[in-house]
Order: sequence, then structure tokens, then C-alpha cells
Amino acid sequence: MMVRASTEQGVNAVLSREFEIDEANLVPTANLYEDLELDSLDAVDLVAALERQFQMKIDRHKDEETIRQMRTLADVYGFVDTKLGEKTSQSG
Amino acid sequence: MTVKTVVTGYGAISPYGVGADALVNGFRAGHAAVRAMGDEWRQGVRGTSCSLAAPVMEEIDTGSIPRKNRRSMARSGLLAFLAAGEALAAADIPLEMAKSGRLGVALGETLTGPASLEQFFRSYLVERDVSQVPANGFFQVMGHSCAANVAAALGATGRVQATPGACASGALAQVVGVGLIRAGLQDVVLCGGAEECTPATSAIFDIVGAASTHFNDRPDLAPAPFDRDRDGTVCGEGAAVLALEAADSAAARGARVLGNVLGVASNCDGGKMAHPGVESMAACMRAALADAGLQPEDIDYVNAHATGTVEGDSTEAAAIGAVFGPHMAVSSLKGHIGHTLGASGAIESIMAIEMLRGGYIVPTAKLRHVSDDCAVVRHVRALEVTPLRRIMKCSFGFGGINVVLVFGRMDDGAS
Repeated sequence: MMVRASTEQGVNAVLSREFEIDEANLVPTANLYEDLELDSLDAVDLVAALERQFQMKIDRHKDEETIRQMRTLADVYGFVDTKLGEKTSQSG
Repeated sequence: MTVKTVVTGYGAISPYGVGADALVNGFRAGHAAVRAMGDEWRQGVRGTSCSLAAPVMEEIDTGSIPRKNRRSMARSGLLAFLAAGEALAAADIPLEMAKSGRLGVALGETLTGPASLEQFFRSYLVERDVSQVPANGFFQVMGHSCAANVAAALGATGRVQATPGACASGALAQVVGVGLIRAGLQDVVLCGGAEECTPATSAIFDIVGAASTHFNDRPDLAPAPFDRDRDGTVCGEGAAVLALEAADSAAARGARVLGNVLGVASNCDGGKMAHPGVESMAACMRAALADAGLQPEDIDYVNAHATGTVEGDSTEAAAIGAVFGPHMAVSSLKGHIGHTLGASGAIESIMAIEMLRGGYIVPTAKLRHVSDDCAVVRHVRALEVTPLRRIMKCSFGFGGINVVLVFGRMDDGAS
């Protein structure tokens, strides 16, 4: 699935700025928990940080399973891109 | 036979800046660290009128703390961890010892993470939206936040004990530490306290009538322990940690001993929440002497808790006078750096040991006219250079918590 470059840049900016991850490690195949060393508490904060970065709301209960299933950075890109698409279609 | 407890290291962040050296040099030089924060510091909150404070002005470098440890630390936790690290380094205690189970942590604060708590309640009550509250916010405000965060960041696997006892927290931690060491449960306990300086903290002291409110543009006059014109205390900020260690443990690893903890005592006033009485304070002082196997004449100087409140200072002076008579040398360090609350007992303990080592007494700052109701001891009003054998350190906290410690020089094992 093609993801907008701006989505990738925004997600990477969040991970770099708020989770202090070296940008060199921000590759789509990176595993969030094993390679980037995030944990379940970080996952909670990541959702909030993505909301701020992309000025959108994420329904934690509705998307609970999707968020739980995310494993790679590519999964985050895809999730955010989908949410941005929903936001655009709702507002449009 | 009682296991002897020694001090092998300490660290501090105070209104004088980062490091125990800044603390010691600041007091020795008599520098003033209380500031006029301006009316805007009160943030337009009605009903509060204290705008003096003694925050840590120096920027704190927290970059050395791993993110996964740092994220759960309130400001007080950050300060406490940096002080604990300095104490470990000064004591030459390797991190492996922290992980051995033989090292414990006892830390307390009056208010746990007030800035973090304020942030949470702004989201919860004002914005009615907790979706942006950090997942680690709770770990910054739980009652044992300081102790738990320091232990986690050090990888300490021994006893972790929170010692919130309001303004006596940092001294109470040492009572706990000495108890653990004497019981043979720990070889080393990192003991101390921390406190953040926020407008809300000052407001709380103002509400209970314990804050200075008449000298907002004269930080050179308040707080003024034992002074005729004293009108309350001024809240300060900081953290201090002492590495208390079993004497045998220190000897076995060839550690440098800075001083001895000869006696400790803690009791409760058993009635008054805000104003401990003369009797319970004096009883605590006598209990600390008994614990050390000493008589009043064995003490050369009493480092008072005296915070500059009208009632607290006179009560303490009366208690010291009752135990020691009118000739005991007494001073308080609150005039210099304000009242660092949970940190004060540990900050002043560090200074007690430094005064023993250096042979000097730091005077009470801002004491211009000794109040009649405090004139029952010998107030030290200028730096005195004199050999000291032993110092009694008093700390008293809201809730009727009395704590008294007796320190001796490194070559003084006393009983």
C-alpha cells in the first residue's frame, strides 16, 4: 500500500522528537518493540502524539485491536494514512 | 552490639545549584538564594499572597537519564535521581552493588510531583479530556514516586521505602535507613528527600498560615528564623541524598567515611497536625541522645529545623532550651535557601557533616533581632570557626512528625 510521504515524515518526526529514536533507525521494516525498543506505555503515548502531530482524533476503543496489532513502522504509516483518509472524507 | 552506621557519600541539588559542592560553598560563603518572584508568580490565584521562593534556577541536565527512566519522573524525581547518582559516585559505590539486593532506597517528599498533578487535573477537570495525558503521568505522582523512580533507574533491588513525613521527610528517610542497616537487612541505603517549588506549594503554606507574606519585595528579610519580625517560611526546591552504610561494609571496601550517624529518633506529637508541642520535640531530642548513648553536654551544636514561622520557631527554641539549657549553640539554615521541605532534612544533614568536617557553624541568616520567645538558647549569628565533636539535627513535619539525628565526626564512634 502506498503511503503519503508526508505521513511517513510526520510519524518519523514524532518518533524522533518525542521518543528520541535515531532517525537512521526509522525504516519501514523496523519492529516497534524489538528494534525501536518501544513498550506498551510508549504505544499509549504514541497514539496521543500522532493526534497532536496530524491534528486528528483517534478513537482508542474503536481502533484498539488495530493499534494492538501494529508491529512495524510501516504498520504505523498505514494506520495514520488510513485515519487521515477518513478525516479527509469526513470533512469533505 | 549495634551495627554502626556511617555516611560514605552524598549528593545535592539546591537553590545554590547542582552538586553538593555548590551547596557547601553557598552556605559557607553565606550566599542568599531566596528570590522575589513577582506578583505574576501567583498566577492570579485569589487568596494567596506569598511571592517569595527559592527555586533551583540552574538548568538541570537530564539528558544523561535514559528516556525510559526519565519519562516516569516528576521534576522532584529527576532532582532526586541526579542527587542519588552524585551520592553513589562520591561513595564510590558501583552500580553492581545496587543490583545486589544489599542496597536500599529511602526517599520522601511533601507533595509528590505537584507540577505533574496540576497538569493532570487541568486535563481532567478543565479540558475534560484525558486523551493527551502521558501514560507515565501516574508514575510521577504516586506516593512513592521518588523512591521508586530512583530505585528503578539505578536497578536497585533492595528495600525501597517512601518516607513522606512532610518537612521531616528527608530526615525520616535516614531513620528508616539506619533501621534497615542496624537490622542487617541492607549494607547501604540511599536516604534523603526532594521537593519541587511551585506556586501551588507556596499557596498551600499560605493557606495554613505558615508562609511569609509581608516581605514579597524584600527577599533579604525572609524567611527569618528566630527573628522578632518573622512572619512565615519561604518554600524552596531541591533534592539531597546521603549514602548511609554499615561501618563494616564501608571498611570492607575501603570506603572513605565522611561522618557517623550516632543516633536517630522519631516520634509523633500525637495530637497537633500543624504545631508540634515542646514536650514531644524535647522527648524526641532526648530519645536521639539515648540512642547515641550520649548526654546533652556531648553535643556542641544543634542545627534547628526553624523555618521562620511564628509558632514553630519559638516551640523549637523552647524544646532545645529544655534539653540543653541556655548556652547551646543553635542556628537554622532556612534563612539562606528557604525551606526545601522534603529535601531540607537531607540537605541540612549534609551540612551538619560538612560543619563537623570543617570545624565551623553556619549562622542563622536574616536574624537581626532575636525574638524574646526564642531567646532561650545561644543563637549563632555570624560564622563561627570552631572544632565540633557532635551535631544534633532536628526536623519537624506537619502531622506531628518529629525527627532528630545525631551526627559525629568520622573519627568518632561514640557508643
